[in-house]
Amino acid sequence: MATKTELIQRWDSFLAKIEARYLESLQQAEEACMAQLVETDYDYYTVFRSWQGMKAQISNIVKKIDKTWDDNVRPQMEAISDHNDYFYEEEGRKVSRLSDNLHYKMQRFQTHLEGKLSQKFYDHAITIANQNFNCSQCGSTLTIKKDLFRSQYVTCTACNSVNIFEPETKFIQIGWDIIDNIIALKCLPLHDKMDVVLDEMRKLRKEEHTNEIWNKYKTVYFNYWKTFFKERIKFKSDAQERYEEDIERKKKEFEEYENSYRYNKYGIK
Amino acid sequence: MANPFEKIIKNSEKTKKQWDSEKKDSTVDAKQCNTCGAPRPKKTNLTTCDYCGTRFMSIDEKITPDL
Repeated sequence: MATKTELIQRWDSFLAKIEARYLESLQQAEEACMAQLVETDYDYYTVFRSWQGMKAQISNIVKKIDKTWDDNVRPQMEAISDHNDYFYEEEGRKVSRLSDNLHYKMQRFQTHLEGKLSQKFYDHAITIANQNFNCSQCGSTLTIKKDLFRSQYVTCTACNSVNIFEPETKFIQIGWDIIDNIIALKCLPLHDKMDVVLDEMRKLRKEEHTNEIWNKYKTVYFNYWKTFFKERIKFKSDAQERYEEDIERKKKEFEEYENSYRYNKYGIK
Repeated sequence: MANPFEKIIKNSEKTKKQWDSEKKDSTVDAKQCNTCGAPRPKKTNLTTCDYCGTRFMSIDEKITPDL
């Protein structure tokens, strides 16, 4: 029968291998997705469906940690522990620690992957606006707006006629979630700051929540969303029209969160 | 070593939905008045022909181009 030290070493080695395999799989998923984007002539949504399949497969690796612990490791550790040594309880905590850590890495990886794929898609699709489009009345070259991803009225500078430019689907898709994914990656450091404060808050009991910690969270929360929406305007000029509405929505979400987390559902302390 | 996700890649391409509404090319066109044949000039109300007054849209609001 294996000793306590041997069992712990074997268990640690198993967890290290799982983590390595998980990270290697994420790397392989990124390579596959980036390659598929080019091979499909920048069909972002097909690549996105592939990623969902890969994500499900990679997430299954985490399930192996639980299963191995329950089926093999814990019974062996319990068998050799005496009445005063519950070392297996500490070993069991490694399951949730690693699972949570891998889950967090997956979330960050997804933001990175979507951001990179979207940037590649954007760099390709934005060139559609550089193609030669001519006025339907006099044939002069028209200038297409590169920050408006829908049909546009384009006035010919030569004959003053108003033309209607109807872009191909790929150009319109830039305005869907492509831009948001690029900005989400760009604003990730600000999102991290928000997560740090949120973690601080979650470690406190409700009674320990002070105005100071909530104000701190409010500051990083609005700093993130204001930056996000302002960055969006740089890419999409028509996003300016909904800026105030977007901020108002986030304000409402913040208040709802504060009401449910800090107070009871009726908003009474 | 081959990428372990090749099968998923192939499946997603095989099961791709073809959308009828997908537009493969961008187009440029100009609305011309059915009555007098004039195009719409810049800085004018796009709901009405600026030359003969024919209404293109049955709304009272004024619409001007983005550019």
